[in-house]
Amino acid sequence: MKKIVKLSLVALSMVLIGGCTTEPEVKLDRPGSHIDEIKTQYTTVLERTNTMIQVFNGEPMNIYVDTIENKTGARGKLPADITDIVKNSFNNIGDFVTLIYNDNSEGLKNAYTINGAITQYDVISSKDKGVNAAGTGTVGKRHNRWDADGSLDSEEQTIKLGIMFNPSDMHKGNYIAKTSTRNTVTIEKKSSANEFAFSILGSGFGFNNAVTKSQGIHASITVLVELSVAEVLGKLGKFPYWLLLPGGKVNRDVLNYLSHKFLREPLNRKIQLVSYLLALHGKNVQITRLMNDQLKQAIIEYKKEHGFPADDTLSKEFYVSLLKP
Amino acid sequence: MKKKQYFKLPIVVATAIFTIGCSNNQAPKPVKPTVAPNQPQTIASVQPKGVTLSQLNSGGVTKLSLRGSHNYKQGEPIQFIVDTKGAEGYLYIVYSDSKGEVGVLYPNPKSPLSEINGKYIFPRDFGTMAITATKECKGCEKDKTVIYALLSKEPILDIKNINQSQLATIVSGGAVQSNGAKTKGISMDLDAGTQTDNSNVNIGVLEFFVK
Repeated sequence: MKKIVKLSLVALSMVLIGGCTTEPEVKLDRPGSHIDEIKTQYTTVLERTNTMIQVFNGEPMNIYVDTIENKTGARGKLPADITDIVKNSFNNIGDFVTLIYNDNSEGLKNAYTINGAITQYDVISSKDKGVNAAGTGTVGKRHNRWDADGSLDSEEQTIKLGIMFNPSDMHKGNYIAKTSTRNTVTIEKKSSANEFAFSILGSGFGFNNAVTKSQGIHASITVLVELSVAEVLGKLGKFPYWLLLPGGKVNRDVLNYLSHKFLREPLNRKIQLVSYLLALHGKNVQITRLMNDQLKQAIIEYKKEHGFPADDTLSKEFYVSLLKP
Repeated sequence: MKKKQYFKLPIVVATAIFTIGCSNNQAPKPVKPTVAPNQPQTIASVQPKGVTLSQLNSGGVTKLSLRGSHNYKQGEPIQFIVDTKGAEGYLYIVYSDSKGEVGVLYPNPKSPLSEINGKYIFPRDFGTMAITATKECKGCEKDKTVIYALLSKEPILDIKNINQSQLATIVSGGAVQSNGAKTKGISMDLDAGTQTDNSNVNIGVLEFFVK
């Protein structure tokens, strides 16, 4: 009799434990082996960077990418060399960024060398298995060969990965002040459902508490590189790169430069900049160098929404407002 | 009989848990929808900021550089250089002809008012307008026109109403009078080193003749 009671209680416990569990299983595709083919929702940043360079600079930027290696001790967990990923990102922008094959800058204007490295790889937390914090291996030359995904398969992990770019003037060879970028991606991997998430924090972008499901560590690195590329170009070319993506951080130096420069621009340039920025803020306007009724209405509408007098005057205060996210 | 009761009890409990215990998975109770009346979004209108013509004070000094040709032929395009000499402000270009008529060349409906600081070529850097020299007087040798460039720290709200006398007052320094003592053709200002510059508009003047 007691056995029957016990059996019933066990069955009851199983119902209680198992019967009410309804956690949905998330199935996300893992990335393929070709990192260049990964498309993320942030790839539009690069496409939009091209138009921004066109509007703000008017002439192409010439970029030479020096070797960008993994300078952490985490051998085997990361690619030893991400130069090709960085080159690919610059090359995807468009005709206003020219990727130079070698560092011969003779006769080139706006010519910069991009120096950089993977500077951080930390496993912050790990469940199920022991923590495997940044290792002590040396930098290898196994270009683009790495096994980060393989090492993550059966455990929950939070990984921080940092990339740094430090550009230099291709003519003079010296580093350019206040143009370096340092961004970090936090990658979270859950063991239950092959699920990845990442958030990005850094000198130019910040997604605080905005974790986005992605395709894993490969895509996270690609996104980190793409955002860092947009940021370093923005700092070099002095355009408001932070407007290209929600979560972008205003760079005070670039903002001050732009507001100062705005006053010195001829009227048609001012109109072009304002029309572009209004379009970026979601107003239905064409980029133009001439005032028209549609643009005038958009200016007045924006000004009303932001507490300015409802007129078409192109003041510095109005322009600075447009430069903020 | 007792055996059956032992069996029944857990089965009843399990059935109860199946039906009641997992209530979290059940669809939420329908909530009666409430319709909120559409309230129009009211945006407080912001009063235009600026100064009026009567508030303008140049201090009697022409701080703005206005350079260009002093002689034009009839129909020739007019062009001149405006240099704010490092000052920031809202630029207005006004003309006054030999008949005493005054008009605003800039801003206009195609070229909005803008804040500037630097050296510009007028009209090239202010939109698509073209300005040509015309002679209004009949039978005269040449016709005089004066161009005034006003760089105001704030927008001038009633610039459209500007007339000859107001222009003259602004150029001469408005209501501000100096404390200078004048004797035998020289002028001495005792407070020159201590006075603060309370002017709010910089003026540049250019005269030209149309033959």
